[in-house]
Amino acid sequence: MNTPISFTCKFTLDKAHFNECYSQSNTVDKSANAYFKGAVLAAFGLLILLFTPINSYAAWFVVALGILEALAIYYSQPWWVLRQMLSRSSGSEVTLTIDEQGVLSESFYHNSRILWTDVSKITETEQGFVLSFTVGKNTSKSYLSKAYLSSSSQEYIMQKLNSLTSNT
Amino acid sequence: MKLLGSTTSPFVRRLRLYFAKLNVTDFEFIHLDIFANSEDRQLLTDNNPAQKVPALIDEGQCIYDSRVIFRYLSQKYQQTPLSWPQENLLTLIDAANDSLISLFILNRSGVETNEDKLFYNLQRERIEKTFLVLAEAVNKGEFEQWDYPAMCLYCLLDWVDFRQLYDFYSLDGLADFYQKYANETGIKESDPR
Repeated sequence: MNTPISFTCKFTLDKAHFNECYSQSNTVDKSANAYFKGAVLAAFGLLILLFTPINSYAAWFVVALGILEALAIYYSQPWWVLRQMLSRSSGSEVTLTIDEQGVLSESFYHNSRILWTDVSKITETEQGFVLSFTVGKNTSKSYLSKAYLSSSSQEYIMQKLNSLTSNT
Repeated sequence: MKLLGSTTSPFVRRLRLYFAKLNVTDFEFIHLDIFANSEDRQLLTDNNPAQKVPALIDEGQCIYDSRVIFRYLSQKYQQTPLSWPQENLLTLIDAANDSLISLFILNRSGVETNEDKLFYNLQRERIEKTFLVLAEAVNKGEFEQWDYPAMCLYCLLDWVDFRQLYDFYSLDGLADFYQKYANETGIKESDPR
């Protein structure tokens, strides 16, 4: 008789975890191109300020919008991490169970289950795995860090990744 | 799979809604009138000595109590288990439901429950307090998803409205919640009216 596959581990939702989670799973573009919109807004504001008789308050407002846009991109990670740190789940211990059905994460405030049948894509990153899955009509992502995954559980996820890749 | 229950019980209805959410159709709902029909009462007693609905018969086993049945179904269909705050909300909903049912059955038995007696006062106090806390929870966004706790709260409110037992419309949040989910899957089909 085959023994059911099940891996369990625990980790804490702390700042280090949130930072890793963001850096490994985030797709926000932080290249020079990402600042184009902010730069255009700021330049447009300056043009209004210097070369038109329009109220200078309106011009400075457009310049401020451009700066804000650039800051939002530059500080997107600390801003996201800060919001997670302020959530009530911050500091909670999470029990993660990976089995033949899927990935179950349980903490005091929040439980979630991702079924393998709902997972459409697994991406291996330098420090973990990003699971893309569908719930109803929405597509979401979940990050699993290799820091708390045993080598056997990582191998199991790689098997799932390979089976998804071979099916597509 | 057979679900023993009544069309009016809010504890049964929440499970019927849960079945609808899970899109499970291979179950039979058996309506029992345990107060007026002795055969129905016997059928329930044979399956659940506590003589309470709902009871779920599956694979030759009978499971009692809506909360336990929910856990059973949740595991069977690989659903996410409830978090501890959700379990707490469910306890509040059940507490209000139990107190309202006690007063309702006492009234039906000809007992005047408006009297200043310890038991009645405790029930009324519990109902007032739990409804206030549930309204606060709604306003904090604890019932944003149409999940099992939301189904339980909806069934409580609709049953209270149906039996005209408590005016929750004055509580900020609960009336909006009640309206918001009125068209969810299974609500119309399980309406006790």
